[in-house]
Order: sequence, then C-alpha cells, then structure tokens
Amino acid sequence: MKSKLINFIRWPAFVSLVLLVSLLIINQILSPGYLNKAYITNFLGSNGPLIMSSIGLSIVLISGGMDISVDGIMSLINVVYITLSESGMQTILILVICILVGLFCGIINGLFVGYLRITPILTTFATSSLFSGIALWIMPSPRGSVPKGLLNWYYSWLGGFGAPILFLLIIVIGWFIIRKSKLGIMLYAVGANKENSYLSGINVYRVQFISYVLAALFYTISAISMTTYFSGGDATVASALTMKAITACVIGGVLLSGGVGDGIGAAFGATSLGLAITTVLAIVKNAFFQDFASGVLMLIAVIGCTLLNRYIANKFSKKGVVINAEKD
Amino acid sequence: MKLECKNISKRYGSVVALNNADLTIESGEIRGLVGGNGSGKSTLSKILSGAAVLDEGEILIDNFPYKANSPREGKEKGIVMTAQELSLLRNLSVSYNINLCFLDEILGKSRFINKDYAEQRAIELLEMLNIKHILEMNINDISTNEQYLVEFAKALIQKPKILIVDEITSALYKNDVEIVKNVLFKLRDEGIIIIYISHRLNEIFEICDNVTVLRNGNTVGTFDVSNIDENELISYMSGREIKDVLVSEHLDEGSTPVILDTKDVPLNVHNKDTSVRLRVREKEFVGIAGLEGQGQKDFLRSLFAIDKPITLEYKGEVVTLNGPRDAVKNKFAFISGDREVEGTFKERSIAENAVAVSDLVLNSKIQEVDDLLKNSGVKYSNAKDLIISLSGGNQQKVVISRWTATKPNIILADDPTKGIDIQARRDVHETMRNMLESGSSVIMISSDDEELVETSKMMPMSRVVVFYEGTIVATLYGEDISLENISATSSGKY
Repeated sequence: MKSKLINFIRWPAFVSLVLLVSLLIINQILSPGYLNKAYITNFLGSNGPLIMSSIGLSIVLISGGMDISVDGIMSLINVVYITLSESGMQTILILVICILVGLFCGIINGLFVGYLRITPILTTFATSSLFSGIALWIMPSPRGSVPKGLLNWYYSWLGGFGAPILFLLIIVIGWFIIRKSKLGIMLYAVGANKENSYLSGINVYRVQFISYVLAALFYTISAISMTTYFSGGDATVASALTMKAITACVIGGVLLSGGVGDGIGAAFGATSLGLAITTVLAIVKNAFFQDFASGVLMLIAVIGCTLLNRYIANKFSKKGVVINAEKD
Repeated sequence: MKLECKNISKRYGSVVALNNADLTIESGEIRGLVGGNGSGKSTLSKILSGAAVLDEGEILIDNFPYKANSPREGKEKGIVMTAQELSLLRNLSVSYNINLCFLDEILGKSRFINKDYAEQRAIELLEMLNIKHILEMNINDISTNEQYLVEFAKALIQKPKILIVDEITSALYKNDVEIVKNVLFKLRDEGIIIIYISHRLNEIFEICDNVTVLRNGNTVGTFDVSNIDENELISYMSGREIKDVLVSEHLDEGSTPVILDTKDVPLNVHNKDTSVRLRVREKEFVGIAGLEGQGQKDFLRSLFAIDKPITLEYKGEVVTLNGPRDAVKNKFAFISGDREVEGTFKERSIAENAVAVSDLVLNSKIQEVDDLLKNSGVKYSNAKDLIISLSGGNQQKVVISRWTATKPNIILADDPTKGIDIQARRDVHETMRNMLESGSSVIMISSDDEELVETSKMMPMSRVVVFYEGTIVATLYGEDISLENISATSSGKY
C-alpha cells in the first residue's frame, strides 16, 4: 500500500495533477459555479488542441528530441482542411488527406533528425517555417468554413461534449497504446541514453524517426479538432502553440533532456495552463495587466513544478538495501 | 562450436587499436583475455559483439564467416557482451532492463508489453544471482554491485552462444564473485564459449581454463593457466621478463620543501570507497601509473577542483579551491589528453588559444605570443590561423603553452601525450622539464608505462606512484622506475 502511494508520488505527472486540482479549487473559490456546461464545452474546444498537441510533443521530448514545428504542422493542416472542404470534397476524404499531409510533415522531421542526425531544434525550426510558409501560400488571408454537417455534429453530439471529448479520447488512447507497446519502452530508453540503447540492440535512429512521425500524427488530429471548433481557415491560427505545448510538457514533468515524463502529465500541464487563464481573468480585471499576470503565473508554475519534481526524485528514491554487504 | 579470429586489425584515426590479432576458442572453455593499457582487448570484444566493425581480418564461427555491423546483429547471431561501463538504462525498471535486448519476447497476445511475463523471466535470473529483492526497482535505486549483476543477467537472458564478460567483477563483493563464477562454470559445461576479461590476475587463474595475452594490439600467445604463473603472465603482458618486484631501499626523497599536500582525496573506484594522499615537493616530477580506471584520473581531476571543491595544504597553508578558476588563480595548471573536448577552442586562432587562460582568467596580457609558442616548440606559420589548421601534436603544444604562460606552480597533466606523434611527445617532455627547472612541480598520468620511465629519467627529481583499485600500491624512485616494476605493480602484485 505504502509503496503504491510512493509510486504515485513518483509518477512524473503527479505534480501537475496537484497543480490542476489546486487550480480547479482556486477557480471555484474565486468564481463559484464557473464549472458549468458552457464553460466546459468552451474550455475543451479552445484548450483541447493544446492538450492534444502537448501529448504529441511529449512523445518527441521523452525520446530525447525537440520539436518546435507544432504550430507549423497545425497551421498547414488547418488550411488544407478548409481549402478542401471549400472544394466540396467528401468529409472522410478530407480527413484522410489531412492525416497524410500530417504524416508527411512528420516524416520530413523524422528523416532529418533521426537518420541525418541534424540538430532537432534547428531542423524543426526550419520545417516549421516551411510548413507555415506553405500554409500562408495556400491561404494568404483567413476565410472559409467546415462542412455544415460536421459543424453541427461537433457542437451538438452528446450535448456538445461528445465531439471534443472524442478527439481527446483518441489522443489519450493513442498515447496508452504507445506507452504499453514495445515502442514505449524504446522511447524511454533512447531518451535516457542513446549509446546504451544502441548497445542493447535498439535501432536508435528508427525510434527517433518514429517519434517525430507519431507526434505529427497527434498534432494533425489536434488540428482537425481545432479547425472544426473554429470553423475557419487561418494560416496563423496555431502560432504561439509550440511554446505553450513545451511549457505544458515541462509543467507536466517531462524532462527536456529526455527519458522522463508521461504524456498524461503533459495533458495535465496543458489543462492547467488553460485553467490559469480563467484564474487570471477572475482576479485581474484590467485587460492591460492580464498578460503580465498570466506571465507571472506561468513562471511560478514552471519553476514550482520543476523544483517539486526534482525534490520528489531525490526524496522518494527507493534505495536498494544492500544484502551482500560484506566488502572484500 | 569454434570461434576463430584471424589477423584482426582496427584503427581509430591514427591510433592502431588492433594489429593482426588472432584468437581461437572452442566450446567448453572459459578463455581469459588480459593485456595492459591499449592492448586491444576491449576493441576485440567490441568487434565480436558488433559494437565496432573491423578494418581487416576475418572471423569464423564453425568455419562460417561472421560479421556484425551492430550490437543487434551480434546478439541475433548469439554473441553477447556485458559492458564494463554498464549498458543499463537508468529510467527503466530492472525487469525491463533485463529484457530490453529482445522486447519481442515479452509481448503478450495483444502485442502489448506483458509486465508480469517480463518480471517472471527476470526473476529466475535474479534469484540465481541472489538479488531477487530488486525486481521492481529502477536502476537508479539499486547499488553499484547490483547494477553489475543486472548487466550480467541482461546478457544471460539472451542465451548467448558466445558470452564476453568485460571486467564485471571489479565492482562486485566477494560472495557475488562466487555466484558469477559458478554461473560461468555452468554455462561452460553447457558448451558456451566464454571470454573473460579482468585485470585481477588471481581471478583469471581461478576462473579461466586458458588465457590469451594481448599487447599493443597483437596476440602474444595463449597459455594453459595451470602451466603458467603470475610472473610469467605479467612478463608476457609487458614484454619484459618479470621476476619479483625489486624495490631497493630508497631514502633520498628529495630535499626541497613540500609544496602540495593533497590530504586524503576520497575516491570511489568500482564501488569501493578509498582515499589517496600525495605530498609533492617543489620541482618534483610525480608520474602516475596504473591500468585504466584505477582512480588515477578522478584523483588528478579532484586536485583541479573540476567536479567539486577541494581543500588542500598548499605552500604551507590550508587552501580551499572552489573550482578550476580558483585553481588557476592559485597557479595550478591542468593539461588534458582529451584535446578535442577539454583542450582546444576549435573555432579560435592559435594565438587566442595560447593566451586564453592568461587573458580571460588572470587578466594579464601576454605581449609576445610568438615567443611563447616558439618556447613550446609549436610549428606554425601565422598565429592568427585557426588552431585546427595544426597537427594534433602541435595543437597540444599550443594548449601546453597556454599553461606555461601562467607560470604555474603545480602542473596537473592527464595523459597529455595521448595520440600524438613521437616528435611532439619529446617536445612536450622537454617543455615539462623546462617548467620543472624554473620551479614548477608536475603530476602526470600516463597510460603508457614506457613514457613514464623515459620522462622520469629526464627530470632532476622524479617518482612514480602506481594506482591499483583506488589506492597507491607502490612508489618507485630512481632505478626502480622500470617497465618491469610498473607492469608488475599495476597488475596488483606488490
């Protein structure tokens, strides 16, 4: 029992879960009864994409990589989705093409970083400009809408909760499949030590490649959800999402040095970021101070979570009892 | 089964690691593999296990050519090696680490990892090695000897046909060694070829049937352990005839005052806490000999406060150095043999490299850079050229001139001539002698015993200390500083 509790505390997502619950309570005190249907559907619609892409990004970070092309890929999917739906294409076909485009973006990242071993941050910075550049090229100014049927389904299925939760569920289940498969262990192994993974017979380059492709697939699903919610195309719609996703991962206990973290923690981190905005809006009424206040809050969250995680890692390590203690 | 390695050669850049080495082993044998620093035993085992690819030569298994381009290929063909530096992943549990090499084996019907099955497979081995209690722990949470046993279990679970055990026992306790020994005997009787690498010669005699000696990348010979004694074995390893260690009574320890007393410097070598104390006199040359990984590097680096602060007695006063900056200000110098990483600033000019410490740390401008470089024997055309335009030996001389410019009292040199040509080597030794004569004391590690013998003869006052498993096991003066004595004491004979 006690060791189960310690394992729970040692779970990398634990600190972000505490943060999330605290924010829920703080918000309840500041604005009682805020957690109504309208708030929840709105929250899931507007923060869902960040939650989903953070889980995607955590795959890359855990395997020791870095991906700052989150917003590039999501913007591209957004305009492709809208442009195709303007042409009157069948919905299912649109979704398939979006996923193919997303996979293609991931393959490009993965090839450069995994097989050509180019610095991840530079590669994905360049490809990010490339992807958002294509997006802007296709759609210079915001326009368009998603097919009416899809829009109605998104906003009304199961009282408006169904669609955003379905998207989120796909991502979370996807994460668990990865986590429980052979690939899951290999991601953690490669993230912790590439050399030793190689010596253990793991194809390090392939694991890195796959991490970028899977992450891109997650961003794509996230972008489809986002586009349906906004019902419009805008090549700059996802900008600022990359840094937010990285922040969410760090708050969620994912180490940027690789090998440590949990996609679920990233999701908690992203949700906390969304809830924190509600908190700021409740406290700070002056619109000019809101950015400053949310900046302060984010800084506290990042520093606090990092330090707490470090403390837990030191405090709760289960030192093995040396039974063969006779030294020679 | 029969393993034959014929004329294996392997070079790393200009360094020849293996030069026409041979090795033939048949099933039912534990073969010891011994040799001094740079003898090529690690390289040979890396080639066999697939972690390195040979340049020339061929390997036959049962008369079929064998080649592994990666550790994975090696494992699939049944050759498995335990790594001296441990190949474990610190963020994974013990059972996943043990199963890591063939994860397909622990997939359930659903293609998901079956944690229970992974633990079940691991526990059999852990029980055999008497460390069952660590099953659910992470590698970070278990002690070093247990980590080495996990590394061993990780190799065993792959059911190797050829098992290479590289220095596994150094970190183990006595009863662990007994367990490992019995497992190896059992595997041998099952017909598995075992290659056993260790610097502990008594273990070679205890565990192995035959022993192959490597020297400078070449095979010296293979001997039945019952027909050879320790002295003969060391003789083959060093290429000199070794009888017993002859240390004449030596009273002349020099008359200059002691400038540095390191006090007890704590070391942890192979899971054992030890400490080493060294008193260095003014103008004295102290050579440090020993097989690689006996704690000498950690000792030297501690003196420069590289990883943590250190308190020493220096010039008669107690001084605390909080980091290399403090060390430099107290006139310490540190010359690393790892030029690429710790020596040169690659994208900077020769002149900038030479004045880096004086300029940036001591804030004293060096006017005559050319004189400084020439005194160290650097051959260059223009000091404004990038340092990487020079040969390796000349680069190292620039790094050394950087330190001579600071007029240090204590020069700490960590294998400073590693991988540079013979002429550059001589220039480095020459510079060191000049420094000694102008008042510095030198503490120098060398992985090349011959170099220590040569340089000691050059210096006005010299001494060689020999490290073995984290302690100084011998101190040699004058005529006693010989290859024979260094080789014998490095192998733990003292």
